[in-house]
Amino acid sequence: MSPHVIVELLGLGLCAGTIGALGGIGGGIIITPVLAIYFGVPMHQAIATSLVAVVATSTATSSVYVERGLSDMRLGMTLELATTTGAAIAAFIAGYVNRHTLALLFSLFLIYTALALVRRAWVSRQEKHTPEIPPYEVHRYPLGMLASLVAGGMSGLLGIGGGPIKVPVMYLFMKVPLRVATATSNFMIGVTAATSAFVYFGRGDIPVATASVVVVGVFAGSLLGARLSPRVRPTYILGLLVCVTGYLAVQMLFRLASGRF
Amino acid sequence: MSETRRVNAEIRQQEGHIVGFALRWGAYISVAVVAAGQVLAFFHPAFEVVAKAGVLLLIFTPVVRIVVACAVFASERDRRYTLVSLGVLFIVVMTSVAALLGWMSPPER
Repeated sequence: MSPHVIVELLGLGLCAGTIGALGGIGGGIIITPVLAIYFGVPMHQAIATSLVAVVATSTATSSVYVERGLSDMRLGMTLELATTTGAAIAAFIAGYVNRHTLALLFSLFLIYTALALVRRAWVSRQEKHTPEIPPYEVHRYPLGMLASLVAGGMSGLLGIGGGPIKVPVMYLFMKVPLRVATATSNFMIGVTAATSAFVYFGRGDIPVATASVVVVGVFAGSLLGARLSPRVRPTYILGLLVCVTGYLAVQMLFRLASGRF
Repeated sequence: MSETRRVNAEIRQQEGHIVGFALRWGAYISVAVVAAGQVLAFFHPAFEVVAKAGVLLLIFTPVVRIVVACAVFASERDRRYTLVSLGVLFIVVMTSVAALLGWMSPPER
């Protein structure tokens, strides 16, 4: 790897980690397409690298939320029964799916995420910031488990965290306060991504050199993002994320259509 | 199925400190190994194996977190969530073992 590729990969990791930590997502949703489109990394390997990066971000940032008592570990672990199952199965299936299909699915997911982020931006404007968490009861476990199964599947298939599926389900259907939902989702994606990562690792799909550099960048980025978090208005970050995901979706679809994948 | 939160914020924070500690150190150590391995690999390609080990260590950290959470629940005599976390542990360990043994790879690639 030439020095400037290393710098670029580090930069990618740094950006993805920072934006991801600020926006409450894993960052994988940016890393996979950028690696595949701009660095010429084969889709399966891009997904695998991204999964490892997601584990790094999740582990780093969730420690903060967990220590503050924001993550609901009990809810998280319960839903993890579903996400890990979904992730394992999906990662296994991904070995048999060709990269064009994965790229197409990924583009669709990018669009879904952009929309979900818009909705989240809208909702977060209306949420008041109270320091204490109101006591809450969790409802609708079956629906939550099903959604988590799907989220885990997306994670294993596309190399992402799955937050844009889990957070709305927890917040809208399971009656969990938004901040707890975000913190809990962040807590869960590490385990979910790790489960899929093992499968990709066993298949030899992880490009160690690339992944190492990206991981270091992402780790630094997420620590930076976590530190900057109180000072950045969520709406701006979400707006940025919507633009980035939208742009990447268009790029990916365009390249798929013109056969350059 | 709804559930009353008998666990208050204070207990959650205590648990959080332990689990958070495990998570944070797992992350620091694995990323350090990855970085060190990759730097060494630039001088001698054979060292890439260290970076690879670091990656494996990194994806193992969440597993450690599951074990720690399980231990925390067990120490609180919370039978339900001890079992839940054991369940998750089982799934993840089975997957990782199967994957590392090569059972999850397609025959020709």
